[in-house]
Amino acid sequence: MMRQETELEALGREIVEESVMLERAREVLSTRIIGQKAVIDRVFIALLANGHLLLEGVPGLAKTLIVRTFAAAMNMTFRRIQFTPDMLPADLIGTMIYNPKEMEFYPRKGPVFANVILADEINRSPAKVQSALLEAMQEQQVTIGEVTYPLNEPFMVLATQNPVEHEGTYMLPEAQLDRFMMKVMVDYPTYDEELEIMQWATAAPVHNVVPPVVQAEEIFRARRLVDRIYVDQRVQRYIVDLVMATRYPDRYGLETLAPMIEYGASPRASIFLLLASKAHAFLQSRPYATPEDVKTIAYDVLRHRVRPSYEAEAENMKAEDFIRSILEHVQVP
Amino acid sequence: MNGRFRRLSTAAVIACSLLRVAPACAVPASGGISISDVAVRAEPDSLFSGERIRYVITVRHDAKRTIAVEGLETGPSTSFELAGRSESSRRLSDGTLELSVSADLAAFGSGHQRLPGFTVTEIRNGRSRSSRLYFRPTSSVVVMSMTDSTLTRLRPVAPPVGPGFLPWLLLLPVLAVVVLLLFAVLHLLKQGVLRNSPGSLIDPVRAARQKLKSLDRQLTKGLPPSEGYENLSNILREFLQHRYRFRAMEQVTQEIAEELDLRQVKARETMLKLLLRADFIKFADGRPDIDECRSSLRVAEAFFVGAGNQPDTIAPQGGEPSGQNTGESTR
Repeated sequence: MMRQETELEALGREIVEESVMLERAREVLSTRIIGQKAVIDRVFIALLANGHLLLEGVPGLAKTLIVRTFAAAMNMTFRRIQFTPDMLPADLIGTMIYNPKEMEFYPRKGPVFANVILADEINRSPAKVQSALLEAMQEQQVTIGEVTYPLNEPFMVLATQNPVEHEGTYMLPEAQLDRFMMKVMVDYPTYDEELEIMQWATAAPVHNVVPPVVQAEEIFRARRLVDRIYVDQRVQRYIVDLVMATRYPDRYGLETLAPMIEYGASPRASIFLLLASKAHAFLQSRPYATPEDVKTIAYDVLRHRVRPSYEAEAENMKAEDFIRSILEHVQVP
Repeated sequence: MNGRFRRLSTAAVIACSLLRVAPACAVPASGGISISDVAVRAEPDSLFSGERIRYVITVRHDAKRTIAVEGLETGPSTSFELAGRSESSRRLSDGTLELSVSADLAAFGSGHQRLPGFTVTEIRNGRSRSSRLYFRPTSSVVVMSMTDSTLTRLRPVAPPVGPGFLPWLLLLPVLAVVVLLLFAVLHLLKQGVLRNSPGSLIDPVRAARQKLKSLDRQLTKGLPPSEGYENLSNILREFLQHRYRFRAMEQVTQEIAEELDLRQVKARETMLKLLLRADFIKFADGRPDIDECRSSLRVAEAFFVGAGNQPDTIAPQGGEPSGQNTGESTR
């Protein structure tokens, strides 16, 4: 065997060893979550690639339960923040409180100081609060008064949006949507899953304590392995082809898409596609990424970065339709 | 004698003009037909230059003689141009015959234009041209000059413009026949009548085997085996695309596996092993040796031959890819 293969094989062995912690976490999650395997996978991918998730789905699909159980199983601190129209940035990041006894201000840290943040219905708060959170996501630190505090590590935001109630909401601007690594659509369970959920929820009382089965150090080790996953130039070019096809569809034989796309994906899309592909390869215990990894997470990485034009909206076309068409037409290496 | 004749002629002209039935003024000739036998009339009596008059000459004669009207004085040097002429003859109640010559004349010039003269020729039975009489009518028509009074020639009439599309209309049935023939040939091709012929170039098995041979030659010339695997992967996908009609070039290996499952391809596992090995070499920077690469070429050739002999079990769905993705995307 040549040297590169040996390195990859060694990396593969390490990945298999480290993947055990994910299996433990999956096991715990499966005791409380029925179905939603794809959503759970995306949460793991975001954790491994140090990204943030935007979850969209109607109420009652276990979004909060998934995140809460995930945080507990990964032994991470968890905060759920219900975003409301009267919320202020200080409610999120904290503020300086005056102590009359000592006659001085001291900082009170907000709920953003946790490992896992569930920003529930993020589109219900004004832009000022949204931008405060998204800035924290980007910078991994917040400033209270004159002091800058680093956020906890690992730090992960899982924001939710309700796709049906738009009245009284503040849609996230595209620039802020772009900071989420993936936008994951949480769908209804299948018939069998629904049956199982119903039986499980009405049966014996559920033990509420979720055992922590993963330590932070294991997560950091896994992240370092993800960084080492090999991505061939061909796969990298395939990623760039997909992103370029969202911007210039006519160059890829998709002339009909050109008037349907208002604007395509940003360079962040290429970066996140690459990172998420590596994390997906890790989930498959593979030391190298393939176009399969890219295709699998392409919808989630691209759907909130491709904006349909007015004509496309009139035709009832969505970003998913464009992504499907692009995946069908861009040649796989 | 001349003065008397001139006076008589003047009186006759005035009388003819008044009656609008102008008796011809005969120039003395060799006898046989009298002046009273010949009459002329013209309608209308006034017109614009270039318009036409109907000039009718009638000659009465007995049945034993044959009469002809000749030498009508028209042409460029006169004020009239002959545009058409017809003749008819009828028997009158007293047993005599009446020859009627009707001429369409275009009138030119301006002012009074005297009607043109002509010659009446009498032919007795059994003899030729026994006598001739020259008649010069004294009546005239008034020609009003509309544009150019010097115009003395018949205005050329432009030929009628035929419909331009008529020849193309005639070509339509021919084109329809050609198109039908083309469709018939294409149908035959689709049915495989030509595809199975030995010299055909569209047989995917034949094309893929030729490409394998070419790849083998390139390996001999020094192509790195890793690149050989990349080419092999493309040859395999092209073959699948043409043989089973799905978009293999845009699909990942797992999607191809689903397509082969759908079509119940016998040697599916062989194909997938080749594709997975090629994937590993391409995406994990694998470096196979040339023997392994050649071995894979032989396996691929065997697959092509086998796939060419296996009938389609499931009709492809319009050439469109049936599978989208193998992962659990949250579309």
